[in-house]
Parts: sequence; structure tokens; C-alpha cells
Amino acid sequence: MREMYIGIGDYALGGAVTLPFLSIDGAKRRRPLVFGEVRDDPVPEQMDGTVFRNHLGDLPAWASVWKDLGADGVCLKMAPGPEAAQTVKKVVERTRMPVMVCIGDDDVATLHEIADTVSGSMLILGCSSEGSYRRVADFAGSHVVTTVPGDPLVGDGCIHPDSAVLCRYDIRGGTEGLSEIKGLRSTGLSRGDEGLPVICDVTGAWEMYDGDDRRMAVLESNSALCAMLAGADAVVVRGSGAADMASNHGEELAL
Amino acid sequence: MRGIALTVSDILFQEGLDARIQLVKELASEFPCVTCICVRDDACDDSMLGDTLDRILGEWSKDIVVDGPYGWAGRDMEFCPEVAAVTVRSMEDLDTVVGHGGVPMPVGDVGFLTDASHAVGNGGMLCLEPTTMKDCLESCTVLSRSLGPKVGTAVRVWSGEYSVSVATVALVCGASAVLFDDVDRDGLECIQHLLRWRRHLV
Repeated sequence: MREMYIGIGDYALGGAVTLPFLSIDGAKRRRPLVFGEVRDDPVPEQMDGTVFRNHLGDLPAWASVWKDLGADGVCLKMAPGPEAAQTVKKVVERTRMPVMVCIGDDDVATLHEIADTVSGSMLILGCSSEGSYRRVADFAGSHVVTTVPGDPLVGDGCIHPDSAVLCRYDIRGGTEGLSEIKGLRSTGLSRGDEGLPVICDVTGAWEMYDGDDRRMAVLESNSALCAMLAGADAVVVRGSGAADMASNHGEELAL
Repeated sequence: MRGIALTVSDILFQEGLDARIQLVKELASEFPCVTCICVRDDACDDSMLGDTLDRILGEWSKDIVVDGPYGWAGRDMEFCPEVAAVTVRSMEDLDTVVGHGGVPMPVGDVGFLTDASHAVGNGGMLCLEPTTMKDCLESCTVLSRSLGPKVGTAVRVWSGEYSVSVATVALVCGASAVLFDDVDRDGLECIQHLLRWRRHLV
């Protein structure tokens, strides 16, 4: 499957040659990437028991905590606006990690400004519809752009060389909810270099949050594990416990 | 057998046994994915196993799995479990067990699985005993590739958070059942979610 470099070029996304983790088939010994979520509208009660609680209003500082925790990258989720580009730039300069950016309503103007402002790091520009993917692909340059699983371009060749597919999954979808990601991996393998890597956001698991942080870590980390087993090349998580477990799980399975 | 089995050992003393049965009952009523109780023949003693089964039969209405080194073959008991799990380490053992209809069978060796699954045949169930997630993933994959859905797969796991991860791997890979030594509510909630879309459990 297609492989692309992200961040300052020291991380690769995609490039799978087998179904996930199957050493018996010659799988690459590379674990999926784990991105920590950083957002400008956190739910305070969800963050009370986390190591991020003192940095909720300062996104670059929050991203730095993810770096200290050993995440592979961060996923910035922000409202559209003129200050978004500077925030992304600060996060890139401060962490030098791969950065994925999701802007509310896929605001194309804001994404355009971000793509133009950040140089020296290959961002992942998150689009959650086919229409915004097509518009963002026009100006993305060296940045990666995501589209959605139902986009016909996923099967018919992409309009931007560095494209990925952005999915959402949490464990409430059960094993059958993984069929979309499994299908993307299978189809992608059959298409060789045209097969697109898959990024899966599992933070939806936090809708089950009831104040029990340990329970949340179990639910989110197992959601990430399911996504990785189905074929996700990267996962986005909210909790540090889930990030740690997802990273360890990926490491062990990739051995 | 489909779903989750929670284990009770036959070497527990009376109070411990009662408490354990009550806990399994509570979890089964809370989580419909708990469809079985698994009685582990740790004592290797028919009378202790019989006493334990008597206690359980009085209180448990769902399926019962008996898991031990000798299976069910040759036992002189009125009760017959829905499933007798037997540890099988060689093809000779396997022939004996299959001859007695004693499946599923915990098997730890991936290279052994294809032969074993052919020996079990349609309608049987193999019980794997993986020690790691990777072992679980590759064993289940080898089995499903060589047999498809003809032979069901069960996976036995220990206790603790890691066992929930191994069980998750098993279920994502298509295993029908998981035998847990022990699991807490958080772990069961995950398994319940993973199994909820399977019609037989809804």
C-alpha cells in the first residue's frame, strides 16, 4: 500500500504489505502510529483526572505533554478562525512531531491558511467529506489530505498523491463495526501503491465516560486495539492511558 | 457454545465456591455475553469435581463447560457437560479425544492446528490457549484460513487486563467463545460490546 512521510519526514504512514501484524505473511515489523488528541473545546470533567488538566487553554503546551508521554503525533481539533494557523505553527515548532489538523465544519479557508503557513513539516489535513477533500487537495502541496471511506476516489485513484482515509470507530460498534476498516485494508492491498493508509479516530469511546478513568482507558485502548487489528495505520486517542496501552499493543503485535 | 465462560475451580472450599458462583451469576445477569460457567478440574478427583458440579447445577441454568487434563471420556457421572475441554498436546492425544467426542481442545502450537482442525471436522470446536496477543492472532488466522467457519474456535485466557486484550484479539479474529479464568466488569463491558452485534446474544 502507499507509504507517505509525515512530520519532518521521520515518520512514515502506510506502506502495509499484508493484513495487519501477520508475520506469517511477512508483515512489516512496524506498529501503527498513535496520535494524541488536542482540542480547543475539551470537556473539563473528562480532563480533570488527566495529565493535561493544567494545559487545556494552551494547545502547544498540551501537545508538548503528548510528546513527553511518547505519542507519535498529535491531532489538533480546532474551531475555524484566523488564529488557527499560528497555533498549528507553534505546535509544529515546539514539538517537531507529526501533526494532524481537523477544523470544525472542514473550513477550507482555515485549512488553506494552515497549509500555506506551515512549512518544513508535512501535516495531515483532516477532511470529513468528499467535497472538502477535493477542495483541500487542490492546495495541499506536500501535506497529506484525508478523505472518507465512502469516497469513490478511494477505489478509483486519488487526486492528491499523499492521501489517506479517515475513519471513526469505537468499541460500541462491535466486531461488525470493523468491516469498513478491514475492507479498506483488503482493497488497499489489492491495489498496491494505490491503496491508501487508514487513520482511525477512536475518541468517540469517550461518549461512554462516567467519571471512571480506568474504565475509560480500558474502553478506549480496546477500541484502538480493534482498529489496529482491522487495519488502521494510525489511531487518534484522547486519554494518555489508552495511548500508552495502544502503543504497547501495537508494539507487541508488530514484533 | 457461544459467548463467554467464567471459570470456577473445583479446589475452592465451600465458602469460596459459593462466593465465586454468586459472582459469576451476578456477572451473567449483568452481561448477557456470559453464557457459560467453566468448571476447572484442578483437583483431578471425580468426587471433588462432582461436588462442585452439584453445587453449580443447583444454581446455574446456562451452559456448563468442564475443563481439565482428562476431558470427560471415561467419567462415571450422571451429569454430562455441554462441552468438555481437554488439553491436547499431540496427534495421538487428539485421536483419543476426538474418538470420545471430547472437544474443544486447548492447543498451543500453531503448526499443530491445521491437522487438529481437520481431525475435529465439521461442527467441532477447537479451544486455543495463546499466551500472547500475537500468538492468538496468528493461531486464529491459521485456523480460519484452513477451515473457514466449519470449525468454531474458542480461546482460553487467564485474568487481568492483558487477558481482555487477548480476548479482544480473539473476537476480532472471529473466535466464537472465550474462557476467562477471571475478568472484571470493565473487561466484560468491552467483550459485551464486541459481541453485542452477534444475533444469538442480542
